[in-house]
Amino acid sequence: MAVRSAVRSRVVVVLLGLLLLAIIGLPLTVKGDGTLTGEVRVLLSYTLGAVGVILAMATLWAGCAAVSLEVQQRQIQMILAKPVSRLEVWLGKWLGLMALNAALLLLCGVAVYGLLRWRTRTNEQRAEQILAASRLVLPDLSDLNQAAQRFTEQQLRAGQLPVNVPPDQLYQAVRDAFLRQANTVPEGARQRWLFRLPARPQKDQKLTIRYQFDGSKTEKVSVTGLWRVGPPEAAIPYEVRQTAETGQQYTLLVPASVVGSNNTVMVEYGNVNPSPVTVLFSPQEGVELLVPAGRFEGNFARSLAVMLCQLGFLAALAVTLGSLFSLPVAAFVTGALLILIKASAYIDSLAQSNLPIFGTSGPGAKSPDLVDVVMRTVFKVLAAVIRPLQETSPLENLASGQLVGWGMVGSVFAIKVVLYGGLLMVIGVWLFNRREIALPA
Amino acid sequence: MERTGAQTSANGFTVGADTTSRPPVIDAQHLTKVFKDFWRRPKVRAVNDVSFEVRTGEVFGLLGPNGSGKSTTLKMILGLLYPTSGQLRVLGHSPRDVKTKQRIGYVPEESYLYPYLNSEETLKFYGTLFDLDTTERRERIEQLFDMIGLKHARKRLVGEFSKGMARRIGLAQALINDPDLVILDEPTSGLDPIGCRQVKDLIVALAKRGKTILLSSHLLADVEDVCDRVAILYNGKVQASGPIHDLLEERSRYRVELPELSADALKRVLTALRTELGSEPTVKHPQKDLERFFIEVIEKARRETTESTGAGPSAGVAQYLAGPGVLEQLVKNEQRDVKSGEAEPAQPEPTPEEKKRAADEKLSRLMKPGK
Repeated sequence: MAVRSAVRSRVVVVLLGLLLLAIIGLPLTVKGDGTLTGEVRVLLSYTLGAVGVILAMATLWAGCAAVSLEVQQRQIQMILAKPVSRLEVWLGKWLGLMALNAALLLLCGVAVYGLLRWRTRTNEQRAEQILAASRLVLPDLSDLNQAAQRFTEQQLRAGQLPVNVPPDQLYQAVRDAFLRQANTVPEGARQRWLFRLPARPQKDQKLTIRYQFDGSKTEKVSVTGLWRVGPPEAAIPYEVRQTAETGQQYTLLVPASVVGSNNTVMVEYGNVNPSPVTVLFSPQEGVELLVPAGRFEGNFARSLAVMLCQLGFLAALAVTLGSLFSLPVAAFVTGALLILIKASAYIDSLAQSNLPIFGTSGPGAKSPDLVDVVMRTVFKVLAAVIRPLQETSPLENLASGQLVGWGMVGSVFAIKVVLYGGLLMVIGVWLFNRREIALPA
Repeated sequence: MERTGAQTSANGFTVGADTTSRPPVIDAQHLTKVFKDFWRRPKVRAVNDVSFEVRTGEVFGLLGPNGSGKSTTLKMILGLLYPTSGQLRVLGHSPRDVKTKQRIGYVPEESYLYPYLNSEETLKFYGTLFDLDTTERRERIEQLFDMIGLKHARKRLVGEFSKGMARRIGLAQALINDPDLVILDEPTSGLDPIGCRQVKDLIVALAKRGKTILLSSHLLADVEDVCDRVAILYNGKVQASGPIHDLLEERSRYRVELPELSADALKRVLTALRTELGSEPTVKHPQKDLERFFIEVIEKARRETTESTGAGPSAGVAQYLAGPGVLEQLVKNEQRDVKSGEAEPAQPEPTPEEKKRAADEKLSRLMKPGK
């Protein structure tokens, strides 16, 4: 019903036009870095991102309008005079919107995928590398953590560390220092990272080492490094020399034969640059290993599923507000709530901080201001409620060839659709039931 | 012919007699509705301590000028507004009970339709809300289209319809579930005289099949034609209520109607009356009413031209509505003095000739004096 009405009202035609424009137009206007990889990234993150934004806006608008316009134009009076409960009205609108979203998303997905295949048709081998779905593996830091722990304890016993700082803060500081050191490679030195893979890759598969570093100098420099990769217990079977510029991301393909007996890989970087320069890998994403984990198509489909779940939450929010308020009010409240969700990081920080928010008492005051106590509690509750709604975009992963796992789909579905969507439905229908829908204007 | 108390109402029930023995379909006691403003302060007392009962098989009219609380009362009965105080039971349940609505048909004062659906899709949509199986739904829609005379417009978007055509769709959607209780808000507003006549015939026919009808109107002629009992509302209060015949009857006066008489015979009658009354009786030829005359003219014109963009001729009440209902037996027992040829059930798929004959019959039926 909602579907047919939407189709007839030509809204969908306009929407389709916009989506097509995004799919075809955006890759032409956004300049990548000129490489095939760049182009694919633009298609995946910008284009699909734009599709997501357009669909989200349309969902919010259509959701807010769905019930509120029917109340305003009184069609709802004829519906509710029939044996139709308000829950069914709510569900009908939500399902209608979701059917529409699913169809449009599928259409866009097929279009983007077709475009991807078409763009990469000339270079199949390259396409296979770019259109990948890999699991990201980070270096194993258990040895480093233990070392940091031991060092902290030793120094504490030796009375070398300040006593008025909590021990866990001391440990963090020590660990950070250890980590920085473990990612610093001075000229002529070597550094090793151990990776533990979740499963053994197949023989013909290739692993990708992704790395990025800064130099000890502020200007951009090229550094030649010697990468040696292999099982930790045996001789290093794979060796490659690569010159890389600071501040840029590089990848290195290695065969699966480098994986050792208990699914571990040792990666070694030697700074063999002719002129002296110290290489500083980022402690967070300096050296990473990407292990093939399924087909790109699956990844792509799961990303679309995550997007659909996110639209499901927006649809629930919009339908709920639309069934309680008139269209302008519903649209305004929806917008305000979305801004609140976007600002959740800021609200989080307000809730965590010890600084006064509204109160007049200074940071050193013994008893905190009552206003602050109340407001902090409010912020804490607010932060707890909206934190799970933080946007988890699958597109970044998809574009960078990282796995969008079933876990992500499941958690987004469980949180956004089942938990929050369900909550919105229950609250919305309860309030909708209390609402008199034939009140004189 | 003398009018006596033992009259038969339009639907065949004996007026003023034992409707009270039947179970109440709508039971409103001390119903009050106060509209509040944004700050929940009382603003308008739209319905004020209204009590009435509508019993099975009755045509009940809520009368009153604009703003007297008729629509508000109907909307409370439909569960679209909630009473501020008082009791209200509809078919034995709360008006907010969803399942009860299975047995209710509602014709709003204006048809609020989805402008992007065509008329067939509209009826199909409302049909699906009742979980009718597909064949049943399809058959009913066919019959309803015949009844409202919009078969030729089934593929037209209802957004393009005239007000009268939209009202006909509104009527059809209310009857798709073969309801036991039909609630009509200003049923004849926006309809042409033929449409009005058809709606009134429909109401009478439905009541005859044991359906209970509640309607609101300020067009008194309509109410007078079809209602068994009325309640007159003003300012949210019931000002008068009772069987319409009782309310309107002037027991202190008589009207005598005679067939054509020779001048001589008339003279004799008048002399007799003059001596009896001691004053001069009024003698006039009765006049056709304008409604009847209008319908006669249009039906004649319609037979001559077949093409019309508006509503076509009606083929009578849909068969499934005319078929034996739950209350059929009860009605049969109570029916007395049913005039033959009144509101014949429609035949399935009539041929054009049959249709023409049906129209003719209908015309003669409408022109039959003394309903």
